[in-house]
Amino acid sequence: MTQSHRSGLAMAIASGSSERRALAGAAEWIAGELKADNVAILLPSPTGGLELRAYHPSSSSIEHLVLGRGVGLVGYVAETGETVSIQHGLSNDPRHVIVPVLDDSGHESAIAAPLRIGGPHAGVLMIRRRKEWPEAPSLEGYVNALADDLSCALSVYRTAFEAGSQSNVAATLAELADTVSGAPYLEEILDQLVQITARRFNYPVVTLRLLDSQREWLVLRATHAPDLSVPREPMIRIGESIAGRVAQLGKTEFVEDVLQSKDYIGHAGAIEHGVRSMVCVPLDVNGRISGVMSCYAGEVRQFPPEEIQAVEALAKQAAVSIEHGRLQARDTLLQEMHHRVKNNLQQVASLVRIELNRRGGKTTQESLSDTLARIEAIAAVHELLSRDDLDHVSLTSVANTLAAAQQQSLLPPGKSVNFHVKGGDVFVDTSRATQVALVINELIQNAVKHGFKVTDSGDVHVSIEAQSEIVGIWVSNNGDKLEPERLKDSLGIQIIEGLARALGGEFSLGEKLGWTVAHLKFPRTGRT
Amino acid sequence: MPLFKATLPNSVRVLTDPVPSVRSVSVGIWCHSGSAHESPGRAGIAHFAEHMVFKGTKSRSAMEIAEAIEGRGGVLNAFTDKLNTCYYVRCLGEDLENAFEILGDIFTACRLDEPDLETERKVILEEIRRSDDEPGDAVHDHHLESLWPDHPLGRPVLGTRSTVGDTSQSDMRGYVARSHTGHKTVVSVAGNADPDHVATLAEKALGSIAAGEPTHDPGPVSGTPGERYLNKDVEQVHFCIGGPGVGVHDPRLHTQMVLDNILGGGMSSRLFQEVREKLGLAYAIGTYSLSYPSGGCMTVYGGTSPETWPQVQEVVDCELARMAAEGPTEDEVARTKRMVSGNMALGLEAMNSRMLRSGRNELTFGREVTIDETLQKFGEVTRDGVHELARTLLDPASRRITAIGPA
Repeated sequence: MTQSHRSGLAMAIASGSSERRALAGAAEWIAGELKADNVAILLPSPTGGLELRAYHPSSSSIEHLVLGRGVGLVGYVAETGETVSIQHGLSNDPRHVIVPVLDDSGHESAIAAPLRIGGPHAGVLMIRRRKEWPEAPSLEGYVNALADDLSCALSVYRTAFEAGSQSNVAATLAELADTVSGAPYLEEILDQLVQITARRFNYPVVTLRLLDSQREWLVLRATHAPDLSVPREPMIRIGESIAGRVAQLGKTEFVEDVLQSKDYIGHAGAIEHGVRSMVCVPLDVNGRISGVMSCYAGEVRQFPPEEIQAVEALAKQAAVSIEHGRLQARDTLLQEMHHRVKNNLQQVASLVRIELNRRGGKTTQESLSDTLARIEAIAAVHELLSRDDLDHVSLTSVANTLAAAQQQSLLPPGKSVNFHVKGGDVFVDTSRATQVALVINELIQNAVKHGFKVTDSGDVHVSIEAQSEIVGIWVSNNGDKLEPERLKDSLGIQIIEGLARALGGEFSLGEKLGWTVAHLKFPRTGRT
Repeated sequence: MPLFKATLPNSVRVLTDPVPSVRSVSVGIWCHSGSAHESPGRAGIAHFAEHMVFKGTKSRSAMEIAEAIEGRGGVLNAFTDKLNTCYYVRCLGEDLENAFEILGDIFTACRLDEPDLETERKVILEEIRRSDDEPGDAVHDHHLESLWPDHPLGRPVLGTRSTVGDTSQSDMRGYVARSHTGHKTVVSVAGNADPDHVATLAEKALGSIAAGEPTHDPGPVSGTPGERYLNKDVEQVHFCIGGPGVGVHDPRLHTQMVLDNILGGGMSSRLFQEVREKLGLAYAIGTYSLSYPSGGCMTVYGGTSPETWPQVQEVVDCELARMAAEGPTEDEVARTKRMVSGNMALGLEAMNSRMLRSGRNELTFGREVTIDETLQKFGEVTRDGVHELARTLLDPASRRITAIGPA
């Protein structure tokens, strides 16, 4: 083997940005060098078989293939460590088996050589032609040299990768410390963390999930990926999948191949991104888990202990930074809360005053009941504020809370009304959330009280949607027909209209195809 | 918002699923008439008619029809299946009126001229030839023909060369007059649209058609076990191995969906793992289930080499027997329920999916089936339920095998 041959193969491997790409480059180079129709590189799989790691010509149809131990010609070469050359009649060779996904039909000749890359089992380099290959036996020595070079280059590649990972640790921790100390917002800290980790360790995908306030779900908060439009599981329940287990047990988990893992739940996203191995580490401060970080490699490989320790160190530092950011925000919020409580008490006083002045035909019990529901709506926002993301509140969560409360308290016996709350995560800042909650409360109350006086059963739909900066809330019911004249003077409608004006929005009420539809729209932000 | 429903005086049902936060809208006009409602001699006429309505109307040429939608960046298309035909448009909300005008025009005033009939006949015969040339597709039609030989659901949607060749202009005009009628028609709209406006546009577009008669779906179907191997000059053996399934009104429908997914619904399914990942015997391997008011079937499909075909059959038999004997694990059921529910919720983010869902539910169940209701049904599926159904459906005595491969 000449020096130029060596450098050709070495260059082909070195130009790969990951082990998978390096092997693909090697397969392509060998195919060109030996004028072969087909080159396959198979490496030992953890289950003792042979996993196809590179195939030329490349084909998307053979992304995942593991041959059982001892299966076929490659199995024979892996078991015996012998190089085999077959000049013609490949399909008649007793060691040959058909593997449909490998496009096995129509090959006439082959050379297969063992790859010795450490460990108890060998890999195999298999080179095939569609026609006879009379010079195959004389090429055996050359192919053995190529296989040795390939084994050697692969070992060097892995060693270099591991060394690079180790030298990265200190610099990465320093960069992270610098960055997060200058980032005032939690979202920015999380985003920087995944970007730095991905860049420093050459991971194609890094995700970061934080536990929600109930500590039941891991919510996806930051992602580094080549294509952010590929959907990922937005929520993972504690205890489920790999990430859920890491959050539950507080222990790092390594998955050699997520595509083979039955516990992993994001197979479609993994295929789209082309990722295989993963390490998932907890974000842990003094035994309190706040989330997990998952780092993915573009190929099936081991994560050396040093690399896992480095990622764990990063995660620990990130967890401290996140906790620090939360404490700072909570401090600011505490001051804000005092101000807000005073405003809310004034709002409660105002609602009681209006009810007192406008009781109309209501009994004292009815007046108190309505007022109670309004105060509960304000309390619902406070409840969410204490456990949500501190500075903004999900309107869908508010609507779900209010719908559940009203379903229990408003419905008289004998009535059957199903509540449906639809909508994505529409957030508003806390300064507007109380007013919006009061409107939703009035709308649900009206829908039940006026919609199901006569009608015994039906549905109430609450829909929340945002288009650009405008938020829309619709509350619809298919109960009694709308009586606009009766509603015109109702206190509930007057409260809604007043709050809509305060939000800088508009309110309308109408009838559509058997449904009474109330609609509030308002800008997501603004002074109140 | 809720799904709004209006019924026009001629019994056309109009459904609107308003999603004000999006800019697009999908509009479908459904006709409850598909290949399962045809007589054997007129097989394929529903699909033939679907092609013909695009060939021109009394006031527009075929080109003008296409340009009216595509010129505004929209999509106009149609499909025919065993039970329904659907003509649909996807466009911007501001082009809703235009969409109704075009869909209404092709549905109510298509010309069905003789020269167009002859041109389109050639197109469909080519479509049948193409299907015959793709054994991976054709095997599914052959399988249903063998499984349900005497039932309309067993006939292919495209019809046969003979029935398509024999369809006359008078047959076509008669078919369209009978099927494009109020009782058989459902309009479903999802996206940026106001329900009142949709009802008004539907009345304008379809108010003139006769009420006609409701469609009667064919009676119950039962499977015929057996084997059929069709010789063809191809490299691989393309196969369907299956048996009975539950119908769409059967309370075990969602249990069947979970069973189907555990057996062959993705890369983590049992058959994919065993046949492809462990043994490398096939590139394509999976399962699907079909459910109709008349009944259903569940099928394993795939492609393999002639040499490995006997082994694939053994492995599939073994996996089906294992499922019938032992049932799934609790973990498999939990994971599959979550996967199916998640896929369904994600799928409904597209307006076209929402339009298709509401239209199909109206035609199948005569009512809205909410996502909550479907998720609840999935939530109620149990391991024991899946096991019990597997024991019933996966009996080897009811198995039907169809394969296309080299002699």
